[in-house]
Amino acid sequence: MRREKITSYILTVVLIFLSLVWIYPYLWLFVSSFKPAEDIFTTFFPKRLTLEHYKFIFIMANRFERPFIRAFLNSLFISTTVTFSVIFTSMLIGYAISRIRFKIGKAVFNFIIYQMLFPGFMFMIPMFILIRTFGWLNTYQALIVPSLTSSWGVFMFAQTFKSIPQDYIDAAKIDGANNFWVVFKIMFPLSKSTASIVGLFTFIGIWDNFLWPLMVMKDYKKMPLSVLLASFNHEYASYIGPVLAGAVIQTIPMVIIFLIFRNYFLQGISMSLK
Amino acid sequence: MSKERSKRSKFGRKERLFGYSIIIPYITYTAIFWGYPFIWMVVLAFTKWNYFSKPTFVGLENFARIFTDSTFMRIALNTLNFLAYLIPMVLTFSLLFALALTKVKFGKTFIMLSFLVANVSSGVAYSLLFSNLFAINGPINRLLDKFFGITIPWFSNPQLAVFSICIIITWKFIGYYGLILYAGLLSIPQSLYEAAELDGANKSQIFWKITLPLLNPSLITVTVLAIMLTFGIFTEPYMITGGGPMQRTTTFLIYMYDTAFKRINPSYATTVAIVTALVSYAIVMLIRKFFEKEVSFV
Amino acid sequence: MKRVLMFLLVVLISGLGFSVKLTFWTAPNAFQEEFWKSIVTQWNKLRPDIQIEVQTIPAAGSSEEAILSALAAGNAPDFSENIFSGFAAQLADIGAIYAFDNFGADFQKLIEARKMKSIIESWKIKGKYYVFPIYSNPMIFWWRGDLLKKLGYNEPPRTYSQIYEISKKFADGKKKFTMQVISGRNWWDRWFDFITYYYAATSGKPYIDISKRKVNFGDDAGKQISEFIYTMFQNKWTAIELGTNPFYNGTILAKITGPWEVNWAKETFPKIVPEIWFSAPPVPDNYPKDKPVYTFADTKGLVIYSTCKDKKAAFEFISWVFSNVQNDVLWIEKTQMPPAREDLTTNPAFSKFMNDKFFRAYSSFVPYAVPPALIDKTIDIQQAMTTYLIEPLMYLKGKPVDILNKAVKEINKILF
Repeated sequence: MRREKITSYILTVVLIFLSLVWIYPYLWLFVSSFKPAEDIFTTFFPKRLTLEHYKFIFIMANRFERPFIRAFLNSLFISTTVTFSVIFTSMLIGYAISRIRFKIGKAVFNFIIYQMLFPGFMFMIPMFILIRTFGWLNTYQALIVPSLTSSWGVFMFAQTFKSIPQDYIDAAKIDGANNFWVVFKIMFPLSKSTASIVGLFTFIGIWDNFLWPLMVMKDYKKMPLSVLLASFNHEYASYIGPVLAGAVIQTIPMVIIFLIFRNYFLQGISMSLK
Repeated sequence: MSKERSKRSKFGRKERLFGYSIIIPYITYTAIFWGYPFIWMVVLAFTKWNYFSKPTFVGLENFARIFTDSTFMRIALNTLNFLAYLIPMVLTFSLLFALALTKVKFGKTFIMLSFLVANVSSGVAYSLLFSNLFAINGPINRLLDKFFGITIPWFSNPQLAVFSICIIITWKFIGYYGLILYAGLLSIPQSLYEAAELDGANKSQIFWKITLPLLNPSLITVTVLAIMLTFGIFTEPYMITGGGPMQRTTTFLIYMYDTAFKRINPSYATTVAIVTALVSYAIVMLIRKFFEKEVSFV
Repeated sequence: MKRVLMFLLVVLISGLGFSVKLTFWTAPNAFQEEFWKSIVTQWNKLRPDIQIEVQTIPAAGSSEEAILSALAAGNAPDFSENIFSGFAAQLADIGAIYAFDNFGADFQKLIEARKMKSIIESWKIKGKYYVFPIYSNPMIFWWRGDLLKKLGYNEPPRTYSQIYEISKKFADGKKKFTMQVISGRNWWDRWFDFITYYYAATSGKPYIDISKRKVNFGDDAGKQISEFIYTMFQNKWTAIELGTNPFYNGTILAKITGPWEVNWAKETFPKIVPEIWFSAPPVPDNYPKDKPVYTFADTKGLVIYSTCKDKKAAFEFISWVFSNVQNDVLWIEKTQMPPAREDLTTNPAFSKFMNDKFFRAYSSFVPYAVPPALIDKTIDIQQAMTTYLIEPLMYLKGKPVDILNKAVKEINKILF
């Protein structure tokens, strides 16, 4: 028994040490962005802190068409719009295929599963051509419209809704509720965690998205932060400080969201297993 | 009786109308943004095009070209190289992580979150982060030099470059995969362990004969996720190594992107995408066929 | 009726007053962007009928990649800069750019005014002029004069053997290396290493025979260069990764670079700048002692795309900019890059720059700087150079001669 206790203490210490190792890259990134350029690779603890790298980025933004703030807002706008759209549509469609008693529901459900089998990258080039045909290249639509729905999101909601007893719905209907009311006032509150998980993963996925925006968005003023950071690095790779500062700007929002919604993350992982 | 039936059918009709009003737009949307690209994908694979003139039908020429394309073969080998590092690393370490996590007394949440936070980082940002962290005169090499007198060319040696990218991916996903396995571990009923112990089984036997087999679904999930992930690697090689050194870190997606945009050849690029998807699918099917077992707790 | 006529008149007048709006893409380089923004602002005030909008080439990868995707996407600009000779050959091949010959006598006048008669000849593609070269950056070597003096040298080395000698004294294989031999793993880096060495070793001989579509660098010069690269890596006198700013922190004695680095060097490492010596690229030992050494010219220019809304208007702008020598003066002030003209050392407008040692050095090499080959498969060829020639040499994967021969074979396949 004692041996088990000792092992468990040792394991705990090892894991906590490893946890620190795991977050070290973030810490290094964050600290380095405030260190003067010569110190970034030499010492860990800075002798002095400086904002010069961030200033560099913002000066660049105004003078030379590397609008970091604009790109940040672009990413925010695109991610938020898609997230809301995905939650909204997934909820409605999930409800339709899981609770509404009609044959087409089952067919759509099977189709959704079938859809999830195809890896996204297969469709990238044909999708590019489609967007080009619509004349949507270099527009926000190109980044938003193809992602308005998510089969994964629909699937998650459908699974959650299946477990809600029919009585709730019937009771509401008898009280005169129409279907919209049922979805938004009854199903949604009962599936808050699913909604949070779908929302979180969608938001992070879109914020992180690189290859697709790289293909369709060439306008510096409209591109999301991921592409802008990549092109900034392409030209200014030797300016380590500003590059790291840019990386911090792209990472920090995600970390903050992660810390706020951490419980939903943990739930989401066990849910997606099913 | 009839009043209830008519009420139900009245609800039924309203319900179905509502359902249709959602499904029909959804189907239209899917037809445009999934169906149409799907058809285009097939069309492109069988034609030759350069974005300007009309596509010309070339039959199976694109597919035949794949077999004689030395770059494609190189990339296939690269992908196997990535898998050879990634799958064992990811499985072993996430399993160790999950097992260790079950024995931990306190700080569980801190540990889980620390490993998970790596998962939310953005591809471009962490690629820049790691390429600087592992630079030849970066902090890691400085530490190694101080203590061991060596520096490691993380990204300029062909094999090491592959390995380094695998390290980065492992860093990003250990928390996520580890927690999947952890959830799987937790779902194994304690009673099974107790019964085994009563029967005199030792720790090693319990692990190999009970834990591992019962963990099979989670392990397969993690493996499949890792395989799909490997086939989709793009950002890290694009940002850090540019596909080198000696083309060892070029992946299918990088080749697809190059072919479509640098070489103005979207039809061949689509063929590459299709074949890649088929290959990844085949590997996943093989893994599932040979390793997946039905698990149920009675 | 009167109202209708008035309306028509207004429409007509405003139609006449409708200006042409052209988009111009500038290179993703801060100094060039500055130059163009100020020039275009001047122009837009002068010519309300031809309004130009300046945008930067969106480059997460290379400019060529960005332009090709824009062409693929159908939203290329009306005209742009940053086009090198090989890329122009590729664009001309697919009919994407418009020849300047179409402007007849006006184009000849421009060439005369800017003293470019022989420079423009090396840009002929299939008998026509598709590119208007803006600048010509010869590639020269910068040496740490202070460190060389400590080793007992009064001038930079010229031949490979001289470099080997210095290496034996200076390089320690761990923290100190003689020079940067290879410029990088991207296809365009081959311009700044192998191709430069080739032009130096052969006095400017083309490395690709364009008419026969065959590789020329499988010759003796190519062999000597391959041996040089191999030897440097084998003896650890250079390294695959040299870290950040190795020239400025004393890790290496020399590097090859263009004028674009000058302003940054002056700003960031002002103490090192006075110690810098210049030299041509190294040559094989059997290169005649009194002959001048040639080098690579990183030279790029403007093209007008076939989809341009008003090609005459674009040409008017280009003419206006480059007929005025003061604009080239402004160019030098902003970018420190020598304009592609033959009177740099003689024209009094540029005399004030001759006091700057960097500008003087670079200008002196302009007559000996050769542009890249006008072959359309530049990117493929240079990528193959990287994969089959440079990387095997760097990683010591075989004998230099064998590596070179294999590379020649592979590239001939591409050309064919």
